[in-house]
Amino acid sequence: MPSILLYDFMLRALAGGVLVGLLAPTLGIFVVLRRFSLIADTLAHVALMGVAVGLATNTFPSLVALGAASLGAIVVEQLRSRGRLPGDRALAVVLYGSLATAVVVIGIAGGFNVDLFSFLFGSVLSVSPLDLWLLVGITATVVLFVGVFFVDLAQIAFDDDLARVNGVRTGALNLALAVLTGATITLSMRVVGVLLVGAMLVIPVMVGLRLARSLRTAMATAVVVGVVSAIAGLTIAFYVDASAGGATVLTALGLLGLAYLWIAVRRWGRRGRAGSSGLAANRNGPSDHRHHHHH
Amino acid sequence: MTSALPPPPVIEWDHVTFAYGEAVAVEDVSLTIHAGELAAILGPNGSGKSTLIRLALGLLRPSAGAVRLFGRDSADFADWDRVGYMPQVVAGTWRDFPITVAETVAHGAYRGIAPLAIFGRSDRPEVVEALEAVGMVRYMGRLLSELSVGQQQRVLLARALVRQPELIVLDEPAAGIDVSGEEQLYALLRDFNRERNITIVLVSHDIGAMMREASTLACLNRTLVRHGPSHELTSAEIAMLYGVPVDVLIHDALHEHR
Repeated sequence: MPSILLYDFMLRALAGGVLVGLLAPTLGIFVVLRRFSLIADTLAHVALMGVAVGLATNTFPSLVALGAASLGAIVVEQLRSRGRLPGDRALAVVLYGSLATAVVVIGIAGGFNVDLFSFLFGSVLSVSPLDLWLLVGITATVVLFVGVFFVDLAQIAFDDDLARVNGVRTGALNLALAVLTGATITLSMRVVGVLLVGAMLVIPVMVGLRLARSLRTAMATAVVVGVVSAIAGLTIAFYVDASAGGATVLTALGLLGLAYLWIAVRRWGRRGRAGSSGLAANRNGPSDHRHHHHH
Repeated sequence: MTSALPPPPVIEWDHVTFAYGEAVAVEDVSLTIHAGELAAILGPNGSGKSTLIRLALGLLRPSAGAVRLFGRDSADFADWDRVGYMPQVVAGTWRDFPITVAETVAHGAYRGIAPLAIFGRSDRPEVVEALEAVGMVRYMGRLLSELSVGQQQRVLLARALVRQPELIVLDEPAAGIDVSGEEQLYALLRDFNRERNITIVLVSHDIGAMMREASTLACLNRTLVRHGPSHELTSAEIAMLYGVPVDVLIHDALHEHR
């Protein structure tokens, strides 16, 4: 058995990483398609404020963070849906407001400590059984939510107004999506850290959107990329003693690079083929040529 | 043909005012569209046309007045099977959205929460039929993002058509397509209106096309300037609508071509 599987903490870390890799892109795809990627970073900083308050007052930081992120998600969603503030400015207000509060609270409570650092950069190796159970719970909830409301969420992402005229309950679903995103970010940041949790929602999804021809396959691809990145990142972290969160996100970015490369190669290959058979095909016109591929 | 009862109202705007903050977009508009009409809402840019139909679809709430859809307050309206909507298509909107033509249309057939629809197929008979109606069936398996704006519009029209609605509302359907695409689109709408008896409401700023295509014209410039049969529109009314004299001769010439 490889030495990585001989330690309890490492098994917990792997389980946590795999759950985050599965969970984050499943929600992330709807966040990205609605061009609302920045919400991940924003809610991560709201959660950080919760952690700071929790540490300062000696209450459970994870739970205070969960409450703060859920509340933050509701506030952001209300601001967005009522058109009070253009999306990115609403997010900026909430992001910097939370970060500033966190910094002030930390200062009053007596400066940075090790615990806070583990939230900032993630500390997958100290994932507790409770953290893991919370992750299992949110993963089950998100998988169920997305499974049941997949078509509704897809319609909202496609066009909010069209979805409403189709009878989709956009208000309730957008709120649920925001709150679940807040919870996902809070519980995932234990593993990858405040500063990188947004990457896990966005980067695997970008790979999926590059490669897939349907939302389903895009989501499945994104989940595979998320899980593979988490396992690879943890393995690298274990053997070369690097930051697990950093290694995970770098792996995901590497896979994104490979996806772009693959598309470039494929396009180049297709052009090469079209060039060699170009004379015969051009007699019927280029559009006829194209249709042949699809019949 | 004689009929004792006039056709029922489909959309009623009853002294409707709507403001975005301080800016009044629509002021005291009263207008009724009846079943079977091919009605155009005409007006210059920023005249409140899109606002008016967003109010009708319950996407906005009026600041004053009432809006009714099939006789119900549009805020409480729930019978969405009767309504199809085609929003403005802006080039590049779905550039990164992985969805096929068939899937897009299948979305239109949505009838309430459908668990396990994630595993559903999208090449169902009603989807094929709707795509046939707009002449896009051979593009079924293509990605929506690979199509031109005009083709995307036809796919969205199929999406509106797939649930066999009684009313289809279109926001600037001819924006961004060329003349032949425009002619095809209007021919489709005429066909839906006459053959399938679907009430059509469309928003446009194209006077000439609307004088040709629509049965009734509502001219809007924040308030309702005029409402009536399209062939009775006079150049004086157009001048009032747009605030500048408009050469109607062009449109009369188009009339004679038909």
